[in-house]
Amino acid sequence: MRLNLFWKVVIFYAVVFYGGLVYLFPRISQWVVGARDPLPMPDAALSMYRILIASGLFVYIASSRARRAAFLTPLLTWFGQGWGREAVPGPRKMLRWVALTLVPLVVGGFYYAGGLPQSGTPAGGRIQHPTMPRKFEKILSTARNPSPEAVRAFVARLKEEDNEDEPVPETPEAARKALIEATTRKGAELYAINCRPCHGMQANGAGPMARGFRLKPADFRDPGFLPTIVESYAFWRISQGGPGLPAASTPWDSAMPIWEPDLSEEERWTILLGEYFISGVEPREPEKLE
Amino acid sequence: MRGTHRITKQSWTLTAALCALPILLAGALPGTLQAQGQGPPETEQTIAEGRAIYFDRCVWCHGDEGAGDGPVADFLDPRPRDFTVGMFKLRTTESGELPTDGDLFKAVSRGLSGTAMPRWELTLSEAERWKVIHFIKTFSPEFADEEFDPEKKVVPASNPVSSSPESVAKGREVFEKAKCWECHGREGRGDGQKSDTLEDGWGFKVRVRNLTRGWNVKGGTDPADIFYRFSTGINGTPMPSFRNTLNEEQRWHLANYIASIAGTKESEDVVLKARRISGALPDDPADPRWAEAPLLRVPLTGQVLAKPRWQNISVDLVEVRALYNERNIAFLVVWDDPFQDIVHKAGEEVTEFEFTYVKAFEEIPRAPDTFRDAIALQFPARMRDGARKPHFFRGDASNPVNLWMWQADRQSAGTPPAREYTANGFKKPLALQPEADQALRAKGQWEGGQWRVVMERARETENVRGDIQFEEGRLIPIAFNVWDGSNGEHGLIMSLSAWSFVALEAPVPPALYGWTVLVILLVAGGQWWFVRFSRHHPAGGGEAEAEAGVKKSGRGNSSN
Repeated sequence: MRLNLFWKVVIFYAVVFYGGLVYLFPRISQWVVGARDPLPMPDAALSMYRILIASGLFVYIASSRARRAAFLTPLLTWFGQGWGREAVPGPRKMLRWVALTLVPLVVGGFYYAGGLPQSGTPAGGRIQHPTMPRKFEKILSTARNPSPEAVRAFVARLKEEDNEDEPVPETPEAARKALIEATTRKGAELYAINCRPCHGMQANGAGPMARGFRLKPADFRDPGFLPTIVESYAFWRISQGGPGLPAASTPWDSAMPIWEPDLSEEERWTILLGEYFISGVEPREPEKLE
Repeated sequence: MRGTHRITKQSWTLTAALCALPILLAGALPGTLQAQGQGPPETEQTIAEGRAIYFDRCVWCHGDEGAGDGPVADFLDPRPRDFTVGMFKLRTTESGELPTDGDLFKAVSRGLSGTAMPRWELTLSEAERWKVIHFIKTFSPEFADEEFDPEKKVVPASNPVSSSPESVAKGREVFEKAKCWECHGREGRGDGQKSDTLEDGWGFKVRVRNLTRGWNVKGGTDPADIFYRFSTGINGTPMPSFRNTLNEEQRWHLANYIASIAGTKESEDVVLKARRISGALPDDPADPRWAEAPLLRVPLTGQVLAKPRWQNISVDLVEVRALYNERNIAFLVVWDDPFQDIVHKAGEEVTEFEFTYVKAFEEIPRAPDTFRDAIALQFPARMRDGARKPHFFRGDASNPVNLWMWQADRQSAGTPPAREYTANGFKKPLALQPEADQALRAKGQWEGGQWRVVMERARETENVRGDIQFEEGRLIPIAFNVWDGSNGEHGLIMSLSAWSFVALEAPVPPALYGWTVLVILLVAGGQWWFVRFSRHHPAGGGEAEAEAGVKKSGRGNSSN
């Protein structure tokens, strides 16, 4: 059976718009970016495409007399024939009455539903990584860059403890490395106590306390997060937490605590070393201005 | 010609084979998973590599010697497993036996829901997980002893009964008959005990699992997982094995029943729709009219934002509904709590803590008859423009919040159980509003391991600077603080939620009805015109006739 132009147009519209843009597009985008859920096209773009497709079809039909006729004929036949005594095929008469009743009611229903007051969903939109306050820009990690005094104190301690498992390093450079290594272990321990409940022992933002928060704790394994910020930025976020964020970053929704009163500056730098170790990522190097 | 034919045939075979490949692979998959029960052979090499992973990933909780005493251990309830005594809770082996490698692999891979043990399958490869298990087994000499070989003690699970309404009903009977409710409660909310006297083999209090909070059930909520919990018992706890008292079929029915009550997690939505009704609002938590109001399930988590931080919460979900009329609004909040705590000993409150987090067992008393159960609904004290809100943790100095606090001890003492407070941030103590501004009416009821509390207030009050005003059609932030007294919770040691929203459904504008009727009439009129038009056009399918029809219509001729 050959389809007439009317049904071809209806099917084309259904396939391109609903099949392609509403169904397929979100799933292709999901596959391309590797998202967890399909990524639907924004409503504004959808209605733009809807208008484009409809006007394209209109131009196609209206530009030729023959196509105009071929499109309209089935409709005219279906609605126009058989009001008198002429015979029409099958249950057309009944179907027609059903259609003529339903269409106004459905349109009215949509109009009514669209006019009902909406409580709506709360507006989203927040700046994830705002500019850090100036005073944090230039500071360096004392844990990653231990002072010569700290290294000497570390060597002195090792000598005093005289422990087989922790041999005294022979060169200052080896001592410095050993100190950073020891600080990293200490940092991982502090991370496990203080940060793990939300950010998780796997540093994936899925600790046991994460579930209850609307704004989920940061995933430190996300290649788009920790490796893209310098260490002092992370230090700022730990020190001043959610409330330290500017209004555009909706500080009222962030569960990040202000750690300044509870952890010393040294502990916060130490935690960072542990955090990078557990996440398996390195901080971004600060840019050098000559 | 013949050649082409053959090629076509070959390509058909090839295509068919390629298409069948995924199906064949899928068929082979269960076999692969079966093989995981054993894992790669244990060698000195795998143990050494497992040791390295253990000291990077596991040592923080399970400790240098594997005794479950790492630096984090004191903060956790349940405590991390002690590997040195060969006592493991989740197994497929008989009561008192060691777990199989497959049991350990499952626990490491999937993690233990409701505890600090994460799903290591997310970041450790299968091979890495096996190596860790090889190392962990070296902590306990029993694993090396042929006599204790767990593979020989696996409890058979040969004929699983798939779940059906009949099986679930039979399982419910088994639940009654085997007296599971003596500990787990009639509805499975873990409220069967009269007091919290149960202790485990390590001397810690046992918290009976709430079976209706499936996401906290450690061993998983698949019937196949549940089956083993009561077929093997949970070593070191009062949970016995029912293998000798219930036959296998009964145990499958029971597993299906337990799986059926595992419960629903939080709603995807964040908006609670308050329903408008006429007449007085229900002041009783058991009023059937509450069922008409839409439900929002709000997730809660530990108060981990400021010292004293608390991660061993008992309440991690609140179910809330709201009804309102012209003058008032009422909220019904429902949450599970195995003990009814209706006294409060202020002298037992703890204010000094050593660390950033509260230790699980040493620092606060966690027993009934110490602290009260309580809940607070939190709203912004006043609505701000745009997205700006007070911080969800008690606001701050310039963005105060309004708290509606219901306390079980006040209700049992016959005083008004709910009072309004103002908070200006978590650092300052809550400020009780003046007596003249107290306008809450409330009633709580505890039954079957569940609190149901109703709080009602006028939608608009005179205290416009300190009280939230409930306008229709606005998204009003709402958050929750919950305290389970017998879990040691008081002050900032509590569960809390982030902001959700409550929206009072605005009334339908009367003009909308008129416009809708008009739209229906317009569409009907258009249809009438179209039918008239097409009746006057005897379209026979041909273009020419259609054309002719248009011309005829132009002259106003009727074809009938």
